[in-house]
Amino acid sequence: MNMDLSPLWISLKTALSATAVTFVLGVLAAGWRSGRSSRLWELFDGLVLLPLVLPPTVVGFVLLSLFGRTGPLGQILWRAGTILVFSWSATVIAATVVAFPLMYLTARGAFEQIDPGLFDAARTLGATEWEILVGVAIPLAWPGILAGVALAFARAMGEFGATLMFAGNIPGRTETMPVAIYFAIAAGDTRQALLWSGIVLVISLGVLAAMDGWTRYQRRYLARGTRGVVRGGSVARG
Amino acid sequence: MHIPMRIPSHRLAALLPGVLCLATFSASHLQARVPQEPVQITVSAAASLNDALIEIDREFQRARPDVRVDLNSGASGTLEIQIEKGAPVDVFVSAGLQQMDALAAKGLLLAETRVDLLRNELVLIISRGSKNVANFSDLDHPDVRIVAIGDPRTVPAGMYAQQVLTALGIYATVRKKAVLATDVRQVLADVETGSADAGLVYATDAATSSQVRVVAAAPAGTHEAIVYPAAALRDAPHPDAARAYVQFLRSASARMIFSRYGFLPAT
Repeated sequence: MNMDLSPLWISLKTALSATAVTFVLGVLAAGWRSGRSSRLWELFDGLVLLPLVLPPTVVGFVLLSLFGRTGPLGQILWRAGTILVFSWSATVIAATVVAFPLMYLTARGAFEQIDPGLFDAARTLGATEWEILVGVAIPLAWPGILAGVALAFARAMGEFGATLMFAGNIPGRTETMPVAIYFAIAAGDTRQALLWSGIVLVISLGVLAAMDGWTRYQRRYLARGTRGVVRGGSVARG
Repeated sequence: MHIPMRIPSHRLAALLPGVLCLATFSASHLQARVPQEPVQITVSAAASLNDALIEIDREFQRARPDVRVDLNSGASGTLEIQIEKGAPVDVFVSAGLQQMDALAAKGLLLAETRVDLLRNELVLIISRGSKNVANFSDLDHPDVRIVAIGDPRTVPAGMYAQQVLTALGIYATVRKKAVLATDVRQVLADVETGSADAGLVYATDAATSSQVRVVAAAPAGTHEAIVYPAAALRDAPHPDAARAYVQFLRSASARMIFSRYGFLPAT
């Protein structure tokens, strides 16, 4: 059977792009947020948690309301000549929005596990906040951050409800694997549905296995790295 | 000091027949006073029939107060699969002959109840604000960004759309920018909101919305006749009520309601 493989490539492109964006935004937000507390930050946390708690169709509906032709952001973009609804970028936006809470929460948890004394020590040595984030916090929190990346990727790969509403099903452009599965089932094509489900399963298991192996390697490396920091030298980066 | 009283079990056993009598007596009395639970039938019908059937069901309620109708709306293809997988449906009204024929081939219909009910037309719609589409052939113009059609595998309206576009020789180009919808009402919604520049829906769907404009009807001969068949199902939980419902769909009052929504009678 000559099956159209575009959903595979679209899903991979979308999930990798969304994970990359989520990683950068999530780590930055978590790094900024860790150790600080204020009403504003608590509000931020609440907002970030929403895509995790709301049904994906509601997330899709919100995105549609914001970026649709008649929405506030949509109108600005329309005048600039672009429409996000039913575009490939929409799949990335939808996937990023739903994956972000997972990355952010995991990264924050990992950062807050670190002994703040280490940050103070770095400050006494003259490190800027940015150098602390990149040179101290991230390397020490790396296993947790990696877990966040894996969760974000898995969530981005599996994203369906918001994607269907915001990006629609355009075979060859926005039809991701979960969307293809849904439409295949609706059309009674169980064979195609099972094939796609199998592919998604293999990819997810592959990512989990890779993450597991990497974490074990990192743990061995980190044990050495922490000792280096405590001795007061610069953090060794492999 | 409170001493808990324990009733010996043989005394309780003696009470049992009395309790049972009392229960049966009151139950039968209650039954005599409260009317029988109305029979609930499930009607799976094509999405395009939704508004008309809601009205028709109200009329049917008046004619048959002992029957309550649960309307299950969706794409005919999806509804067909639900029935094939054993969903407890009493009546099926499809937007295409294909889905009904598939069920007939599997012996899932009460064959003698099958009837061709309605006809419809396929039209090209654009959202009120847009101006760049005047007929079907404009659809392959690069200015037209997104065209909404139903998924041809599941939605009869999508299948007819595919037939029309193929007959006009533009299916391949339009397909690349086509957003596939799960049912015809979603196609309508996509054009209403302006997310899609144009869409192919039934004339009856277009009539329900003031936010879309019909620019063209599918040229004659570009698609097979759009016929809506209806039938009661072999495994209907309530076959008598199901038959009555299908009969009602053919009645004069139902026909009048259908025509008000733009559906033409099949015969």
